Order: sequence, then C-alpha cells, then structure tokens
Amino acid sequence: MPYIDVRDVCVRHGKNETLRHAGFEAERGEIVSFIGPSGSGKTTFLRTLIGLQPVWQGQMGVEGRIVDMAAPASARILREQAAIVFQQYGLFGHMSVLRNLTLAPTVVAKRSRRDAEHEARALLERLGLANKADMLPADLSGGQKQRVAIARALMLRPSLLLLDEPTSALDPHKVRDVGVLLRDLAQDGMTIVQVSHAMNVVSSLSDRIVLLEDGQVRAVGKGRGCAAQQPDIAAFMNTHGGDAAADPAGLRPDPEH
Amino acid sequence: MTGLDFRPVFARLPFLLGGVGVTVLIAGLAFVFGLLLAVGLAVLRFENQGIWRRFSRSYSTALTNTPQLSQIFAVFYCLPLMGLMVSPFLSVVIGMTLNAAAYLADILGAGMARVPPVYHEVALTLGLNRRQTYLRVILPYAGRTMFPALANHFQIMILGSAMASIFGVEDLTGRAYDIGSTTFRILEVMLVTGGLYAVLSFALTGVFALCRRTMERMV
Repeated sequence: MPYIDVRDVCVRHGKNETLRHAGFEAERGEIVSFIGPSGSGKTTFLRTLIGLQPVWQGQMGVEGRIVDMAAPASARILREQAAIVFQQYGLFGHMSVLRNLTLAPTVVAKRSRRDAEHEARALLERLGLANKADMLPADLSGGQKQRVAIARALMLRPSLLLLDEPTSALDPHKVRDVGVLLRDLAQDGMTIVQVSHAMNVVSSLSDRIVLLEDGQVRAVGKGRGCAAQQPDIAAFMNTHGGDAAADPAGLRPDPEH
Repeated sequence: MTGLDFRPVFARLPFLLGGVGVTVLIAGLAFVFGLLLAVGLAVLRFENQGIWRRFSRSYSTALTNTPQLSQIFAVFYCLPLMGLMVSPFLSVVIGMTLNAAAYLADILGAGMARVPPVYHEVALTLGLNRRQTYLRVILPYAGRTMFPALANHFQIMILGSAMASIFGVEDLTGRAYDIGSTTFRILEVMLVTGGLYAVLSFALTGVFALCRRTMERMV
C-alpha cells in the first residue's frame, strides 16, 4: 500500500471544474512534482492536500488512514499531517526568525518555549541559519527566507511537506541548495510534493512526476529518470524550457539506467 | 499698557504642575480603553460583511464627524439621566474613550488591511485558531505598522484633554484657569501652560521613539 494515496479529487468553481478526478500515490520519502501548463490546476491540487481549497469530493489515504477530503472536518486532519511552504514564504515580519519557528509549537501544540527553541535552533543550525535566529525576516535574503519558511514548516513535524514553486524566486545558484535540502529531507523519510515550473529541477529531483492538464492528471512518471521515459511528460518538459534528461544540479545519485 | 508679570504664576507653579498628572491620566486612560474598544471595532469590520461591519463603520463615521466636546457633553448629561452618577473626571474619560475608539478603529483597520494576505493562510496551516491568529499575527503586525499613527493620536489626545477643564476637572488647563481667576494674570498663566503642554508633548515623542526601538528589539 502506498504511503500517500490521493484519489478522485474534484474542485468546482460554479460550473467550472478546476480539478477533475485528480489523484496520485507516493511512497514514504519520495519527491513528487506537479507539472503542467498555467491554469492546469497544479497549485489548486496542492492546496487541497492541506485543506486550503474546498473540494467537491476526494479522499486521501495516509498510512492506511482514509480522510474524506470533502468533509468539513477534514481540513484539521489534513493540517495535522501536512505542512506547506508558500511561494511568498509568508514569514511573519513582526517576529524574529526564531519566534516564527516556535510560534505554532508553543501556541498550538502547547510545548514549552524552551523545548521549542531548542529544536528550532538545532533546525536552523542544520539549514545553515544558526546565526540568523534573532534577526527579522526583512533582514534575510530570498534564499534564507525560504529556508526559514521550510524550517517553520518542519517544526510542525509533518509527514507530508508541500512546496508551492520553491525555486521560482531564487537565483539559479540557490536553486541547487534547495534541491540538496529537499533531497536530504526525503532521505530522512519526509514525503515531499512540489509544484514547479523549473523543468531542470523537476527532472533532477523528482521520484515521481504528475503532469496535469486542464484539471486532470494526464500522465504519471515513476522513478528517477522518468521525465525522459514517459512520452507525454518528456514532450511537455521539452516544450517548457527543460531537458527531460537533464541533471544540471547533479542531484540524481542513482540513475536507473 | 502694563508689562507681563509672571511672578504670581511661578509662585503657583507646583499647583499648576500637579495638573500635568491629571492630564496624562485622562488621556492615558482614554487611549488605553479606546484602543481596546478599537480592537473590537476593527475586528468586527474585518471579519463580518453584514450588519456588524456596518455598525462598526457607522460608529467611526458618527464620532469622527462630530465635535468631541459635544460627545463629552452627551456623556456628561446622559449618564445621570440613566441613573448613573459619575464624576466629571469619569465623564470626560468615557467621552474621550468613545471618541478615541472611533479614530483608533480606523487606524487599526487600515493596518489590518495591510497585513499580507498570505499570513492568514500561513496561520491557518500552522494550526492557529482565529483568536490566536488575531492576537499573535494580525493585531501585532497592524499595531507595528500603524505605530506612528497611534502615537500621533495619543499626542492629539493629550492636547485635546484640555476640554476636561470645561467640566470642572482640575487638569493642567483647569488649574491654569484657577490661577488666572485668582491672580488675573490670564495671559501669563496660559503662556506657561502652553509651554508645559509643549514639554509634555516633546517628552512623549521621545518616549514613543524609545517604545518603538524596544519593540523592535523585543520581537
């Protein structure tokens, strides 16, 4: 049984169906990428996974536990297992980096401030941000802000980490750093779902690629190197500024061919 | 033409200075309670589309378009009619509180509208409930953004609290009138009083700057 099993997700805006029976599976520790043209429903799909987007129907299984995504109570359950990093990061500007990380653990999970700060500092250290703990988000660079946003999401100890366009606002040389970080997290057992337009990142990072078109899943590629092997995906990627076989960041440690 | 004679005024300076405390107390109480009411009004405006939002807006419209003096008079005469015997001091504080709430709700409302929209979704996905989102994210952020405007309004309230003297309250201006009517040195006492207001106001500017820096370090 797959670790995460999302099925039959439908989203309607009036008569428009922005998502039609969309679904995907992922094993634990996999990186899944949603790709597709603008308006294909990638971000909408991602948002349904954490209850930010009301769905008409759909279900999500995590470790065999089935959640009816259309039920009003599902948002809370989804948020217990998932965390999201928004495209604009959304770091709270009136709080230090450290407080951004400890807010939810102390206020929501009622952990002690000391305990939460200890974990937050360790996490910042791991992400190379140890000396930024007491700074305000406004004093950080774009790449640092993103890592803080990822750290804040990780403080929720999610089993599923969602990222909306994680590389869109980064300098090209920072893109590799994020890729390495995501790969590390996946190796530790975190399941990651990202929406991305950066085809090079997608092809070098993904264990699974989900191609969406017009609200439907058009194709799914599995395994490293799937970008080049699945014809629909390869065609899409080659027409959207990426080489399906590319691995510019050298992130593909065990090529399967 | 007689010259200015400040001696009778300086002889009564300790009495006059005693009014400074009353002035600060009136403005301070009205500001703090006004801010609490304003938080409620601003949240109503932010949360609700319907009648409560209209109520909150109408409240601000009504009280920012009528003289504060009329509002204090209304409190001063209406509360006793309702069977509530309150001192002139309290009437002034209540009147100024209601007035401050109207202005401060507008200021906070503008600040809340400037909170980045993504904060709401972040708060949601972090698991914060509505109350926590307001208390930890939206209000502190709006308060910081709008700090200069809030501080400015407090300064206006310090100066505006002179209205208390009309109701017989012994604030700075009230005591100035007392001294004027016993010494007939009206111009002199009013010049000195004006100077005291200026000193008070400048001192507050310093205090606010300090507050702001502390706030920035305290995050």
